[in-house]
Amino acid sequence: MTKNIKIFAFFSLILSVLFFLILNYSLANFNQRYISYSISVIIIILLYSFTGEYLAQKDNQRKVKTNLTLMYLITPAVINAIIGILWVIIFKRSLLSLYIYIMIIAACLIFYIIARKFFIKNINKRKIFD
Amino acid sequence: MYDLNLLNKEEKDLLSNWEGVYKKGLLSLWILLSLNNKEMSMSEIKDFINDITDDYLLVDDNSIYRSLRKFYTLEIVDFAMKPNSKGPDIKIYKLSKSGEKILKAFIQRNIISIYYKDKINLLFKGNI
Repeated sequence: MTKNIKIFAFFSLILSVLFFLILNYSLANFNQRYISYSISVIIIILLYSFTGEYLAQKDNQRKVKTNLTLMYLITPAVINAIIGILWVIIFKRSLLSLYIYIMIIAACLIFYIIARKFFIKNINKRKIFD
Repeated sequence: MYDLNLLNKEEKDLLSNWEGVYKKGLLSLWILLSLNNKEMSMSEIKDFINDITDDYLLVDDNSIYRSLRKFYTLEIVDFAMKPNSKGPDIKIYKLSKSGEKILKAFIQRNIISIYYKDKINLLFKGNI
């Protein structure tokens, strides 16, 4: 893991906690708050994208064996899903949400395994020497 | 050299397709061979390949650059910046330890152990 990925993971953690706090608050006051909730979600998604893009550009794939492109994609998804699971447990939300978050983590794991099979770092094995 | 006039248009087309694929597959080998025990800039690699193959492999800058970039990410080659009085600094590439090992293994397994066999040489000669 590079330093930038760790920073991005920490940033994702903060954004995820913020997201679920806003979600929790909006669910309690949905009729009045859905516009501010929607705007907050858009801002959070944009923050994810810009931060990820910025940190990824400054990162160096050569330094690590893992596929950095994939790591920047799955890190926020996994962290968000973990916080989501905690949110379901702590606030006793629907089990359907719990299953969805578990499926997101499983999907990320599958992507990771597939990427390890077909890529070395972030380069497709078939295209290295073509 | 084989006289291409002995081939009809269709045969020439097939040969050209085959050669295209074959030459493309050779590029990585020639790039890594050019850096074997030597340090070179991209243009020197290109000149080396054109020269040593008597212009058989006419490679373009983009293909070499694309390969070098991939090899650098994969730690097969390294580079150092060299000041250039005529313009921007030049990247001077060299094989990494890992690159040396991979190249040696490739040559041994795919060239020496196959093309250096008498049996195979006889097969080639029978077709010339």
